Order: sequence, then C-alpha cells, then structure tokens
Amino acid sequence: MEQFEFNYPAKRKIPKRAHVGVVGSGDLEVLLEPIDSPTASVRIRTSVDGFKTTWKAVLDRFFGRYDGAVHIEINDAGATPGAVSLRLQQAVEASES
Amino acid sequence: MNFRSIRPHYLLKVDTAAISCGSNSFDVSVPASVRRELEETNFVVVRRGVVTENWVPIGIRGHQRSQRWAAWYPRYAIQGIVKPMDLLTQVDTMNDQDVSPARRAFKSLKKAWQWFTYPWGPAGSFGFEVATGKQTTTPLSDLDVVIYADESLSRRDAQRLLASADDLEVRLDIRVETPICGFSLTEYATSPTKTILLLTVAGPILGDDPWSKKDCLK
Repeated sequence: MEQFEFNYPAKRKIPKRAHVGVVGSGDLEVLLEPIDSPTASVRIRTSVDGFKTTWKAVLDRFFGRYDGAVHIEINDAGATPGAVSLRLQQAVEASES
Repeated sequence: MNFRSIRPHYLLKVDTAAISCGSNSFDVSVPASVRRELEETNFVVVRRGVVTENWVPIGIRGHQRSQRWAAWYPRYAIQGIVKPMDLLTQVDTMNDQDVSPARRAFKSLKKAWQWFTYPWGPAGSFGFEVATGKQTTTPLSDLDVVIYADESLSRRDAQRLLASADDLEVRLDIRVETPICGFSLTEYATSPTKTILLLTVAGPILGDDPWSKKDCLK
C-alpha cells in the first residue's frame, strides 16, 4: 500500500462533485470534489507499490488538458494507466453533466 | 475444443516447462520462488487477451495480490481446464473444518443467488484455493466471483444480484464477462454515469453497452 499527493494549477470552477468506479481487482474509484481556490490536488492510495513515476506521468498528462479547481481522491487496486485515464475522464464528465 | 471456449478467469492445469514468456525464457522472467510455488499447484489463470488457435494468454500468481506475470501457454499442452462454474459445486464437497471468511461468504452468496441462472462461480484467490486445495485467501481477501453473461443482463437484475449479497462478511468483487468484454457488476448496477469501464482485449474503454460489438470493438 502506497500513498502520495500531486498538485497542479487550476482556473475553472466545477459545478458538482462526482464519484465513479469501484475498488475491485485491477480497478479504481475516483472521487472528484470542487474547491474554491485556483488549484487542483490529487491524493492516491494504491495497493500496488513502486509506480509513483507512472502515476505522475498519467496525472501530468491529464492536467495538461484539464483546468478544473478540484480535489481528487483515487483508491486504486492495481488498475492499468489506460484505465486510470478513462476513470478520470469519466469523473470529469459526471462532474459537468 | 472450440478455441473461443477458453475464457478469462478459467484455470488451466499446465506443465510449467511449456510456458512461454515471449522473448525471455520463463526461468528468466519469473522469480525462482514463484516458479517453485507454481510447480506445486501447476495452475495458471486465463487472462484477458486474444486466444489464438495455438496460444492462450495466461497470468501467473505471485506472492502478493499485486504480483502477476503475464505469459502464454500452448493449447496442445493444456492438461486440464477448471471453470469457475465447476468450482461452484466443488465448494460443497470441501472439508468444512477451518472454514475461512471467504468460504463462509461464498456459501451465503450461493444460497442468495439460487434463483440466478447464468453460469457463474468463484474466481481470484478464492477460486484458486478451491481449485488447488492450497490456502490462498487471507481473512482480508475480497471474495471474487465471475458471471458469464452471454445474453445481456438487465441493470435491474444486476441491482437485484447486488441487493441479495449486501450482508456478506467480506468485500465482494463481481466481474461480468460478456462474449466481448468484462466489467464490474457493481458499477453496471449503480453507476451515476451512462458509460462504464469495459475491459476489452484491445484495452479498457468507456461504453454503455457491454454486449454491443459496436461499443466494444471500435
């Protein structure tokens, strides 16, 4: 079990919170919460140790396009980077629909 | 045997000498301690991937939940196939002394799902334990089960399955396998979004119909 946090700049207010995904083998859940300050933070808890660089790469890419002011909690049970990106995309869609 | 009849989560009894890890040999790719354990049980799990006429994609269990080695196994060398559905009945004949939380939970689940007619059974560490007789689950293990839904399963039935399994003593992880992808029953039944995560042989995608080729194979 490993835990880490990343921070990014943000510009845009987000209308509502979202919760997508499930904590099951090879899957993850993403909780997205709007915040007032112009920043974004992500806290990750993962059952698989040793992939901090991969997480950072996935999140850097995500926040390269996303500018929402949010706090994101990720509970991961060994999802692939592809699945992580899709879950983030899904959370964004749910928070803006 | 039709080569499409080997599906993810099936267990294969293998001869370890026939396992292929691609360009590296099995001995180089997989640590010695894991190889020794595999040689005790000789069971590997079929992972999601393209099953060809000659090769089956397999996963080898490591010591920790997060450790899996991906490899390939030649179809001609398969010594036995154990489906989760076979394990469903095998649980009843197991010795009841030293009953684990996973096994108790599984028995309650089986009772609760008596009305359910789709093929299903134990997977993950509990499935492995039932198939090999080797203690694999811990008191903290999730109970993994898999449902093979060749016909589409309604969201209402998915909700009913979940509702009848909500008081188990361990966390339940229910995977559904359709002919074209796999997904989480919990997400399908409860997701606030229209799309859910579908695991296909080409990787994960977001889609709203796990039985639609158009959705899964684009």
